[in-house]
Amino acid sequence: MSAVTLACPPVPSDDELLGRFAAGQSAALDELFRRYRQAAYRVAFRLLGNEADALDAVQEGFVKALTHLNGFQGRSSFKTWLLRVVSNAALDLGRARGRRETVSLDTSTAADVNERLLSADESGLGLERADLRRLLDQALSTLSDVQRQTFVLYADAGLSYREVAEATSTSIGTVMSRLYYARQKLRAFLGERIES
Amino acid sequence: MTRNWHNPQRPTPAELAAWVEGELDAADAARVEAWLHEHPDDAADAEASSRLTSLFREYPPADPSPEAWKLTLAHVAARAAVPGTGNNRRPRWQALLLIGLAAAAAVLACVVATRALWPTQGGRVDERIAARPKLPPEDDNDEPFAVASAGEIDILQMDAKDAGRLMIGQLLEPFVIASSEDVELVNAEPGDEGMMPRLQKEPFPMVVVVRADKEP
Repeated sequence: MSAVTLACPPVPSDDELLGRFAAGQSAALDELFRRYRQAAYRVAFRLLGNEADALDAVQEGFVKALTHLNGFQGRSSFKTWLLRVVSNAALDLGRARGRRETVSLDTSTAADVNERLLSADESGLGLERADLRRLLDQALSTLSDVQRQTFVLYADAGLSYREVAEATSTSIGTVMSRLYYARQKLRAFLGERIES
Repeated sequence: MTRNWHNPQRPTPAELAAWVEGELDAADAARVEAWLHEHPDDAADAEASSRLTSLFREYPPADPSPEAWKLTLAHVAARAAVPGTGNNRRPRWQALLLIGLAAAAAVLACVVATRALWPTQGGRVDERIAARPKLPPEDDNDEPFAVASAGEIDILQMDAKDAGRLMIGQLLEPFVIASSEDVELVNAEPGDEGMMPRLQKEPFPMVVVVRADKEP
């Protein structure tokens, strides 16, 4: 029996997709959106605290990134460029609308949440994740805009220090400094949960 | 973040965190590793910071629904596409030029419409004064003339004695501001503060308000 090897179609690069998009191929936009929507959304959500505003920032960021490609000029990866635009759009939106976090119907205090989180109750795992997510978002709200942007681009978007520096137009040293102070504040807020 | 003055070789906390996360270049990483070989306890704080990053990555925000993704993509596609030119955008200078021309055309249209609806008298004030018809000297012109249109005035409070002096009326035709040539100083009396009124010799526009209790 002879084996048949099917060659996988080559995965188009971001540059190729941008070229196809400029030529009017909507499928190229679909692919670019699919590739980076999650990272963009996570960054925007961490900066804004709610889904509706985050999706608005994602939309605004993608539109600006795609209609101002002359500003991109290939000096960084498209992902870095896109996340720079999305995070700035999110910060602008946050200043305009005010950062609105999802209000929890649970009236528990942060200390009560911490105590629940220390237990290993499988039946409460779904609530536990949601509570911890809210706690993390509350912790992020204690940071300044630049600290939050730097930390979120690193932790949630998965950019390297160098890429974060490119996205925020700063040096790697500044990124390291901002991350350090951001973590200090986050640890102070999250308290015992981090120490365990 | 400044280095430790007492021991410049000691890595900063930020450098330790960067080393834990694999973000230092080779030279700095070697320096930090050399330090940690002698001071292994210094890594503990950096490792705690790294766990913090992992915590955020382990608990990311919940993804939106497929419908929300689809709607967002549709909005992006609608706003990012340029009809008629594929998805190519005009060069920035062309876009700015078009915007400038459109703004100039709008301003010109407003000016033309304004002049058509509200024609102005034009000319300098003194030319308009010179062109106005001379009034007979006996005409005391005791009809009140409007200094403002009725819609521009809100009378909040007034004394009854001021009613004869406050002239309010419907402006039927443009009024002409008098000049000093139209006024002959017959008699002058000092005011309450002892100041004498004075008319300048050169003709200049002025508004003369006749007091109700005085002869003009």
